[in-house]
Amino acid sequence: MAALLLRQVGRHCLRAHLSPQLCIRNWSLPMAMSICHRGTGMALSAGVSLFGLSALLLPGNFESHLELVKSLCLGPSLIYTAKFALVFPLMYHTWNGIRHLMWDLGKGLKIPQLYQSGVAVLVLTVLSSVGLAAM
Amino acid sequence: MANLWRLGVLCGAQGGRAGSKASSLHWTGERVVSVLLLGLIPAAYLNPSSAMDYSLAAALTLHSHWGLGQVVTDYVHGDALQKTAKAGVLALSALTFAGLCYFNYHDVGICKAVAMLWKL
Repeated sequence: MAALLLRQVGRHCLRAHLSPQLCIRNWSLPMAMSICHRGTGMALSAGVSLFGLSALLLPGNFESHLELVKSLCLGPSLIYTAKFALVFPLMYHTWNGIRHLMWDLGKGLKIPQLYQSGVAVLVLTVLSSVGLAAM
Repeated sequence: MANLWRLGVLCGAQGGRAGSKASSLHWTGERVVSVLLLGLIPAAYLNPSSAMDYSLAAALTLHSHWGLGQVVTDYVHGDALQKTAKAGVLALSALTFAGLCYFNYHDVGICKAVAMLWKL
């Protein structure tokens, strides 16, 4: 019964030209967090590269760019949201990175520990992002 | 112990023990830079300076260069395509590092820039 259902779901994915693993495999927290670790890493890399390249290519110094943003007179809630959006992927990648380093030391590799540390990372991410964005 | 021997034989068949040694060193290097970067972030907040700016630029670009390298290794298949992708990542990392150093030298520097941005 489950096999039939799975085959139906997989077929739907193939019709949408998606990899069937995305639909057939049961999503788990560690799997999703691993993908997010890579995703945040790539996003942060892109941000750093954009920053470095714009220093080389764009006219004007950093202060002038900040003045431009100030002149937009954005509301404080929008500024907080923007800061949160910047800090959230950094915090996630940092905390999950520590989790990865713990695994490299051979610690916390049991399945229940995986889920516990995963939840801890998510909680720490939200708390630290909220805190840092408020600074 | 037997597995290590098998691994050695495998590496021997694929171009010498040097191949696996290089990969092992690369792995260790990745972890060392990760820990370094982890320590640099609070250090930069507590002790902003020009030296911190350049250390941050170096650790950041190296960490992201190796990270993107892993992404390429995982998703780009085929000899020629992988070589091109790796060359592209190298170019991007080099330009990013150059840009960050330029920013540190000619502009306010990374630590001050973050402080200024956050005061917005």
